[in-house]
Amino acid sequence: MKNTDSRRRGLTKARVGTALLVTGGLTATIAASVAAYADVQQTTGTGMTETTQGESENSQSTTAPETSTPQTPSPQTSSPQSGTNGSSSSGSGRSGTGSSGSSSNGYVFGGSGATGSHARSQGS
Amino acid sequence: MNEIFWATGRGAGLVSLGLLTVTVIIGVFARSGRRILGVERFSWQLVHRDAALLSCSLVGVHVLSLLFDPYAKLIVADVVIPFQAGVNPIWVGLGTLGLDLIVAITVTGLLRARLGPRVFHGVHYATYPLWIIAVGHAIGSGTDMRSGLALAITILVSLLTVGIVLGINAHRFTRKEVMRG
Repeated sequence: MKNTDSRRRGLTKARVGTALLVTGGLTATIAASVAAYADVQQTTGTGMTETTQGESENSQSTTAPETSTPQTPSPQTSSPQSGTNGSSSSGSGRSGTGSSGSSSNGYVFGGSGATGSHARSQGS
Repeated sequence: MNEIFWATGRGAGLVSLGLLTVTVIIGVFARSGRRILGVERFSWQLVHRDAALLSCSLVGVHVLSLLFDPYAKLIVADVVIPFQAGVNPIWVGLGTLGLDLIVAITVTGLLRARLGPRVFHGVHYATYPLWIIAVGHAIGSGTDMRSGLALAITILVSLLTVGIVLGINAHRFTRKEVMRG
């Protein structure tokens, strides 16, 4: 009898826990998706939309062919890169705070060109 | 319209990582065999299973959304074969590898009665590398990780999770009779 009560209480706790997880998980998913959508809407107004991985799509905006190969702005590879106009984006990666704001392949490494740290837009 | 797919994928990916972390922690709670926070082992197991299924479902949403997102440029093969993606192959490949592990872990979990506990546990240990791979995938290709705060939270939660997993899996904490069973 005691074991039955204990098991029933345990099942109730499990159901409550599951309900909390499902509710919280779905709510968080919707909230995160809405926030991401708002982020995209905010950042795609001024420039061309870019991939999340950062592959360059707008090669014609790149003025120096030799530096227009797609580059992944991952933390390892986004160390200072030379710019097309001779300037260098001294940012520290995708969330860098470089002063020039643009790199050779048009990526915005922060600076004045970036309207948000989550931007997947590309300044032209 | 395209942004909806991308935003959904981004949100689902982020939350699925959080749920995967919760699943791992609850899993080691259940494995310890002790009452933790006043909750019995079998209750933790039930919540662990449901959290895992929810996390897997969100991973499915994450992958499907990005398949339909033209900017992600994923093809079906990229979802199955790791490190083949045309864009950002390393970080996306980690996600693919994680998905493959999820499929293996889920299938062996569902077939546990047929496969036996040895095979189930052997494959289930892949959850630990899976979680590390998922965190790496999120940091490497997750847009949200461009925010310093998000990255800091991820690192903090990851360290906390490692501490919990190591602490609970410690020999003195885990009941031996449960381990034998």
